[in-house]
Amino acid sequence: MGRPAAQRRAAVLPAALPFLGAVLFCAAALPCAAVPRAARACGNTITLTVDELARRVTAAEKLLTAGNTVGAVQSLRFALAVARGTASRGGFGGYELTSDVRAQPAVRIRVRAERLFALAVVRRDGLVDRRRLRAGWVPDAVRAANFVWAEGVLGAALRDAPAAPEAIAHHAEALARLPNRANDAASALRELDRRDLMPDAWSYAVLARLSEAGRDTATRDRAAALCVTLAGEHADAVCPAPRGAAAR
Amino acid sequence: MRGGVAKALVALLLFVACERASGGDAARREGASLEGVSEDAASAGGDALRGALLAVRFECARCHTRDGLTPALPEKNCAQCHAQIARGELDVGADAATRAEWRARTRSYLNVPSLTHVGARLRRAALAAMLREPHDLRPHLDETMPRLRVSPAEAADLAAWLAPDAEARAPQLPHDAATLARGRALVDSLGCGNCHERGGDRLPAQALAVPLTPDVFARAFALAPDLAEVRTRVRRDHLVPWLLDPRSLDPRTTMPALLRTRADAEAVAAWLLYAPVAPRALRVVPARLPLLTRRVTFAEVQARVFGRSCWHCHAEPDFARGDGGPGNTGGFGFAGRGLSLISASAARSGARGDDGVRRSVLVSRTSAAPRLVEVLLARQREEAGEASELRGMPLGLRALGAEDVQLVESWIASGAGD
Repeated sequence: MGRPAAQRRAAVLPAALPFLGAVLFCAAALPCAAVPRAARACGNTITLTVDELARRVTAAEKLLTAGNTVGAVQSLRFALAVARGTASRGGFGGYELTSDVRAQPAVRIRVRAERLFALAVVRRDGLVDRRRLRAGWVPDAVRAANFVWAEGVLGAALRDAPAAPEAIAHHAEALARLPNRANDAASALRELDRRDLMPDAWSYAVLARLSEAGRDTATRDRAAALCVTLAGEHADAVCPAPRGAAAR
Repeated sequence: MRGGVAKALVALLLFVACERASGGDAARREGASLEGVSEDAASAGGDALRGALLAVRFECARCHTRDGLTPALPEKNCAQCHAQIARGELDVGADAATRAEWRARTRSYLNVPSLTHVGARLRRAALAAMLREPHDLRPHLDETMPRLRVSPAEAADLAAWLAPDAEARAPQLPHDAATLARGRALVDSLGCGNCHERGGDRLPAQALAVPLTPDVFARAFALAPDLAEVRTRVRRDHLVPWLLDPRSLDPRTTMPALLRTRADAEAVAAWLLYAPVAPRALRVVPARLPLLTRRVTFAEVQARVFGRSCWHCHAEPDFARGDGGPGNTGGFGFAGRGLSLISASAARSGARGDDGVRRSVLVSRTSAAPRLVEVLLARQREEAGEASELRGMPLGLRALGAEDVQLVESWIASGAGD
C-alpha cells in the first residue's frame, strides 16, 4: 500500500513550491515586461492614458493615409477594444484606460477610432470581419453589408460636421461603394475639388475611379495625377494605376 | 461643468465688486490730470465689471494669473502646461524621450507677468493701448501679448479691471541736466543693465547692488521691460515709491529694491521720464527665399514648423481633450476658424472666414502668396513695426525665419501632400 493521498500531496507540495513560485513570479512579471513605455501596470491590468490611446489612433490614421489598410485595421482593433473597455478579455493583454471609458475625452477618441475603422473598411474594399475587427476575406454579402454600415458611420460624422471637407470626402468614399450612389459621391468630390478643399490623395483616387466609370477622361487624368502628387511615396498604394486603369 | 463655470463667474463678480468697493471709484473721482502723457478718455471711462467678464471671454487665464481670476482648465492653460513640461511634471502618458524633447524645446510662456498688481504700477491708458496694439515690450522674452480682436471700448473695460484705481496727480520732478546725469550714473552703478535695456541704449551690466538667486534673476531678466516704455506706461504717482520699494506695490515682484534715498529715486525717475531715448532698432523683414526644387513632405513641415508653433492653436480637438485651440475651435475671443494643422488632409481642409465660408489656406487669392504663407509674412512685418489688418502668425510668438517660411511655401507649391 502506498502512502495515503493526503501524505502524498504533503510530500509533493514542498518539492513543487520552487516551480510554483517561479510560475507565479513569471505570471506577475509578464505584464510588467509587456508594458509599453507610456503605459503603467496596475494589478492585473495595464492602464493606458487617453493621450496614449490618442497617439495610437493617430498612428492608425497615418497608416491608413499611407495606404496600409491592414496595418490600420490592426492598430484600430487594439485601440477600439481599449476605448470600449473590452480589452480585458479577448487576447488584448488586459489593457484598460486610466479614465472612465464613458468620460468625454475617451468617448471622443472612441468615436474617432470607430469612424476611422469605417473608413478603413471602405478603403480595404470591404474585406474586413467587422465583428472580430480583422482584415481578411469575407463573402460578397458581408462586403456589401460592410459598405452600408460604413456609409452610416461616415454619414453620422458628416452630420456632426456638415461643412468639413474631410467628413464630406470620407462620406463620398463610402457613397461611391454603394449601388446607385456614385453620382452623389462624384458631385461631392467635384465640388470640393472646385473649391481647392480636396483633403487627400484618397479623395482624388476615388474621383479618378468614378470619372473613369463615367468616361470623363479629362477629370480622370487630372484626378489621378493629383492623387500621385499628394500621395508622394505612397502613390502605389493609394492611387489608380496610370493611363486610366480600371477601378482598383 | 456648468456649475463650475457659474461658480467661477460668481467668484469673479464678487472679486470685481470688492475691488470697486475698496476704493476704485473713490480714486476715479479724484480725477487724473497727469503730467506729460494724459490718460486716454476712453480708457479712463472703462468699466471694471465689464472688464472682468471680458477677461473670461478673452481667456486671459490661458497665460496669466491674477488673484480672483479662475485659472484656465489644464487643456487650455498654456503657461501651466509649459511650466509643467519645464519641471518634468507634465503627465500625459508620453514616454521619457518625448518628455525630454518637449523640455528641451519649451522656451515660451515660462515667465508670464502676473496681472494681480499691475494696476499699482501701470497706467490704465497704457494697458488699454497694449491690448489694442500689442508690441514687443520685453526684449528678452520670445513671446509678446498676442494681437486679439479687442475694440477700444473693450480695451478700456479690461484696463479698468486691471487698474481700477485712477492715477493721482504727481508733482513734477526736477529734470535739469545735472539731475538726469546723476540718475543715469545711479542706473549704471546699480547694475540695472543686467536685466533692462532702454530703447536702443544698452546699459552697462555692473554687478547688481543686491544679489539675486539664479532662479529669481532668470525670471527678473526674462520679464524686464524696456525702460523706454516707462514714460508712457508707468504710473507717475507710483514711480518713485516703486523704485524705492518695489514690493510695497507688488509683493511678488522680482525687481530688487536698489535705491536707498528718496533723492536718488527721484533722480532715477527723472532720468527714466525725461532723458532722451535712442530708438530701438526694429527687426528687418527677412528676404523671401526661392522655392525649394525638391518635394517637401508634410512630415518635414510638421517637424520643423507646424508641430512646434502652429499646432498649439490649430490642434485636433479629439486628441486634445476637446480643445482644438483658438485657431480651430476658438479661444482668446476669436470664433473658431476650424483650421487644424495636425495632418496634410486637415491643412488642406481650409479655414472658415468671417463670413463662415470655408476656403483653402493653401491657394493664393489676393496676393502672390497662399493665405497660410501670407500670415507668416505678416508676422515678420509686425516685428518690423509694419502691422497690417492681417493678423500675423504665429500669434504672439516670434516670426518664423526665412528658411521655415520657404519650407512651408515649398510644401504648398509641391502639392501640399503627405
